[in-house]
Amino acid sequence: MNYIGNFQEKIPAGLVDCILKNQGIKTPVYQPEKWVGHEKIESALQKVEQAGYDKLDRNFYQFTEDTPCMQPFIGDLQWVYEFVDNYKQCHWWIVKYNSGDMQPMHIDPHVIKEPKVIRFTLMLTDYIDGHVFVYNNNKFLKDYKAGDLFRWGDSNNYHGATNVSHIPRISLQVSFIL
Amino acid sequence: MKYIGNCKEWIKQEWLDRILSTTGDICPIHQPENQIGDHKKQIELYKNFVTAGWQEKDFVVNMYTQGISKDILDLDITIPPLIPVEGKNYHWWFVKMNPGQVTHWHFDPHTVKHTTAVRYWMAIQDYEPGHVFIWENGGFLDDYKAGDIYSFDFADLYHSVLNLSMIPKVSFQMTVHEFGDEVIKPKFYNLNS
Repeated sequence: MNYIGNFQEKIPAGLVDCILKNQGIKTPVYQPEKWVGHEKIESALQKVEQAGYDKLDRNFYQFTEDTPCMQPFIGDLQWVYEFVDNYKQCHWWIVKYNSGDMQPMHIDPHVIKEPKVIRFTLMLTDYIDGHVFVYNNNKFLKDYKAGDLFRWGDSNNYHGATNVSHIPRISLQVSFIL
Repeated sequence: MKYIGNCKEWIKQEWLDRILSTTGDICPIHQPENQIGDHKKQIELYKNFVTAGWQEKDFVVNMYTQGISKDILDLDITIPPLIPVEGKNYHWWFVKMNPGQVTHWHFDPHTVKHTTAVRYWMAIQDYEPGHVFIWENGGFLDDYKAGDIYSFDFADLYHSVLNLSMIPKVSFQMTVHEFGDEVIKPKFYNLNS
């Protein structure tokens, strides 16, 4: 994860409060209907099933451009489309991990399906002990501040996240398909 | 976490096979009868997690405790040679975290009650991406090898262990303390029984 800079002043006022007050889209860690259409993705799904994640009631929460409570913020988030020039497609989504939520180690399916993707993560909450993001086999992201922007070194990075603190962990993800 | 050394030769494959093929004692992290009553920090910590929605049955570890856990009672498990126990009392336990198991941020209550406690952690397997051991102020243990032993910076260090990988995570835990500083837990929590 390559640090780009801090953009806290560009985070729309009220965005984080809105995410904390609304549930968002409940997203289970096991999504067989989504993990299809590519050999690598289906192989990953098999491993997830073998490990037993299909039997766990574990989730995380997402907010997208289509989420009703996000509508007042859409205009003020247009700046995230300017991270990269000359892309075919771009989308952002916000991920909230409440206490105990998780995503096991994985590569995002949309990244596997596309030949070239550039990814960014904008932290919306300060790091605290118990906020976990592991990547690149043995790296652990810590000591960041709300507004810190990171560019992924490799969009196909195997990564996972969880929250074992009692305070929600929120970040905004952006993918550019070239 | 301070690295002590490696004693991989101490680990018997039979022990690991037994732990991987059995359930052990399913112990919740939230153990109110053991964790409240004498320490304000513990009370506040658990109030926060209960308020945040943690439930006892959802957040457990599979434990294999010295002299207690039936699944390992017949095994001749000795003490790792690098852990100094001469003239001291001790107790040990293995922890298995299946994929998806997480513990919330905590410290081990017995290490507060043992005023002379020294806590040790030992890897039983090589590091696997998604096998996470973290401790306060951003500590993260990576790239360890089976047999690596660490001592906690101090006994009641805040920490958490979790498994986001596709294979179980097994570690060995030990607390060493002076004689006369024994602690008897009011209750042994086992959701199996």
